[in-house]
Amino acid sequence: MKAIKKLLVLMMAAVLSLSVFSFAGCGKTDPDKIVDKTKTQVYVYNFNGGFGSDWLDAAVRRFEEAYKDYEGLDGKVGVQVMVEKDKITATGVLAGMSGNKNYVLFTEGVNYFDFVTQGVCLDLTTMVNETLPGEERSIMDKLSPTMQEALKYGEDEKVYMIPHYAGYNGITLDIDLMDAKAMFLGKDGKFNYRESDRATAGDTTGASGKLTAGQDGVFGTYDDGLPATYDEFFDLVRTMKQRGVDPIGWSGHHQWYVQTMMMGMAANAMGAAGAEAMYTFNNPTLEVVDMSKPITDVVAGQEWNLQYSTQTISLTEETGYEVFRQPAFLTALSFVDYIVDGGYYYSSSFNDGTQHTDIQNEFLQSRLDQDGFEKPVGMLVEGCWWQQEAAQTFKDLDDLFGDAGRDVRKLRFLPFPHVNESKIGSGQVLLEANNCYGFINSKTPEEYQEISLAFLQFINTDVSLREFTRITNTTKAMNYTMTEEDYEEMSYFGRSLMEIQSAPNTTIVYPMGTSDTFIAKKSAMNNQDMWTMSTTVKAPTQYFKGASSRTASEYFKALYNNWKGSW
Amino acid sequence: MNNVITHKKRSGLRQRDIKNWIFIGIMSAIPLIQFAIFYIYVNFNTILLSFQSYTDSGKYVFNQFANFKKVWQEVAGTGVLLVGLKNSAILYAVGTFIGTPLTLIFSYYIYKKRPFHKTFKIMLFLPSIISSLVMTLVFLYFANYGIPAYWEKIFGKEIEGLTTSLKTRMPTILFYCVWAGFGTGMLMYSGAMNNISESMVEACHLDGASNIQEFWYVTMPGVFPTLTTFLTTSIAAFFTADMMLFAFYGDSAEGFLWTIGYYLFCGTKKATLSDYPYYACLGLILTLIAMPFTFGLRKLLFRFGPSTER
Repeated sequence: MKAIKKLLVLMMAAVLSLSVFSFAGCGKTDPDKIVDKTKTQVYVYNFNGGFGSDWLDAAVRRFEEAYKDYEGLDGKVGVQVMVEKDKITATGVLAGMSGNKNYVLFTEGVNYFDFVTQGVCLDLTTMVNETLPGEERSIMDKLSPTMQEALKYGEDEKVYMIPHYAGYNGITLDIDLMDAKAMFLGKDGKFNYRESDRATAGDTTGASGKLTAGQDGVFGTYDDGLPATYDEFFDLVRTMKQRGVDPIGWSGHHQWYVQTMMMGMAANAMGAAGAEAMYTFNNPTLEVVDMSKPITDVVAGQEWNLQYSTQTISLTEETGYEVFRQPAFLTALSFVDYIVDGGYYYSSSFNDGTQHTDIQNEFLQSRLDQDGFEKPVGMLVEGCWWQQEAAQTFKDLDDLFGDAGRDVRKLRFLPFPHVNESKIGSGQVLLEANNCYGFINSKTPEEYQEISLAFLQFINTDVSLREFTRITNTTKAMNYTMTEEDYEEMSYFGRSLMEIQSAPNTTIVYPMGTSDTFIAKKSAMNNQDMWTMSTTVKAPTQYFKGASSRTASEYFKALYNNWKGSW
Repeated sequence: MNNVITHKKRSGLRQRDIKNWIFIGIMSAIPLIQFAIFYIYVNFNTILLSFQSYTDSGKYVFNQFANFKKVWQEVAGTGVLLVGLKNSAILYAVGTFIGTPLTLIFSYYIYKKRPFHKTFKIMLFLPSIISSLVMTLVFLYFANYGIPAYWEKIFGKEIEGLTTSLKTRMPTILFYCVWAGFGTGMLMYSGAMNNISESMVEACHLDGASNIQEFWYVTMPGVFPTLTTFLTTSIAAFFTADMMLFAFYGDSAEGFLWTIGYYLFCGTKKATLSDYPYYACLGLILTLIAMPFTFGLRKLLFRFGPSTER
């Protein structure tokens, strides 16, 4: 009996011990990869979300090959990169940094200052300013001037993190459907054309084609025949509805996808200076809506003709809430109000059971499966990474219907239309929304810092940046150019995204600031919660769905007052 | 001789004692360390944080009552805490006055081994053994696709999904909370009911008591200590219950649904280091509010509740 008791106690102790040690196994590196003791190991953590890890696996293969002769400690030759893939975002990563054994980390949802002030990041200043091997630029040279400044911390302006992939939120348009229903906009003002009616590249007069010049104002480019203004966009959705298409869909369960899209749309309307003011709270000539003057809202079904007056103010940290008085907030609200009130949305967009992956599937399937769907869906509100998430759906649809794979279907990340014609040709402003960064753990043993820095640098070479874009069909938040061969390997969607980002007058805005106010407001001022109108109303779509009499101007005023009241 | 034997015995005992103490020490070390870190340290740090604020140099400095003032501003200003308080109260009331009696009735039904009691047992315990995320997902599909489809088939009229319609969203989620909450309670109550003396039940029947009378006069006093524990812990959980909102909506539930627990959870999930003091302070205040109620209710229940000895 005693022996049985002892055995039981030992078993319990073993279970207890295992349960404790099992924490160490959370998010372990690839279990199939055995440590090669003849090589130097570099431990890497990657947030395995929508962008996946295929890009990292490919980069690791090249890095291990490039550093196969690297001489490490104790006669070790070559490098082995051990990758941990998990879905822990920045808050969790920061909380667990004391026990994190990885040397290089890529994560999203980062608050740069929290990481830096907690001393968990290795100083990268020298590395980011070095000219990259085989190139003529440094990592810093690839960043926008605003980002370069925002990354410099403290009086000695040290850099601790490098921006990673770019998370843009927007609208994806089904070009195949646009072609099938001939819904491209022609110079004659009619939606009767196809993509093939585009002018040849370089034909600045547009004489060789029938389509309008699009939002960039240049004929023969990627956006010809696509809506350049809100007016044209609404003309398009009305045309879609008339031709048996549900114009636009989004996840009914995650209404916030629309909010993040609205934020991108608003940033584009604000222009780079206005969008950056949301994070710097510093703009001596900020254009805002004059609340003392009347605002004329738009009536569903009629022409979109929002009217308001503006005034110029000086924005400071103390009056930071004034950013919410920018006309772009009002116009984005009016945009959504018009879509909702006009019923230009796909019915699942308000079905609480429709997850983001469901709407991706339905959007992709609706054009192909005419038995299962009454109407095809023309546009999808999503983040630019959604095709990675829908990879299996593409495969399944390809098997079922043929010619429906990711590389075959023509889906375009739509450049945001401008509020009015005066902005045509002024370029796009892209708002990076995911706060993704790469950095090196400050606890990395000194003897492994050199190789870890080399790996992070390697990830940001032009070859790696291009490879990332080819594999994920998304972009990194840096300036780099794709070759024609690269484009051939990419999906139509990936190309469309790159076309916008690499257009000459495109500006990328990062949600970064250095002020105390920014640090204090950072968590509240995310793209989703920026639209919080009151304690109980956070989603404009739900608000407008509640009653058609509800207006964008009401929401706009309440939004402004809410922020002003809590500043 | 006797002395020698006694001495040997004492020496043996000491050695065994030492071994026992080592064994106990090793076995207790892990839970004690865990308790020290995750309870004592965390709570101590929370109290400290409540009186601190974060500076841009990356340090927390004492700021007296600034966080308490901020909490008050939230209560008086944006009203988000008041909405949370209202919803927490609704959740508590539904759980206590609908969920608990139903759990007791179902437990009694199962205890009495009435027809299909095993089926009921499985059905009601199912939400507790399946991942809550899976259950909520299945429930969402059922509520938003299944119910409207059946409704249309039976009544020929289209309706919105139960959580799609803003009017029915909260009641539906409350229903789900009650249903999903049956499992643990049912297991505990059934266990307590099975411990009630068979002879007492038989005596009760010999006296001509009906099932309802048996439930009220024999079963209820038998399970009352268990009931007391549940009611007391539910008061303590008043400010932490999130109405399953995170399982349903992640951190993007509509504002009108928020409970205090959800507000706290999502707040800390999204928080930057500068936000932690505010949430720590709020947590401290809520604990101070919940504590007297918890102890008070416990005392009242023990004093006035039914007992098999009275």
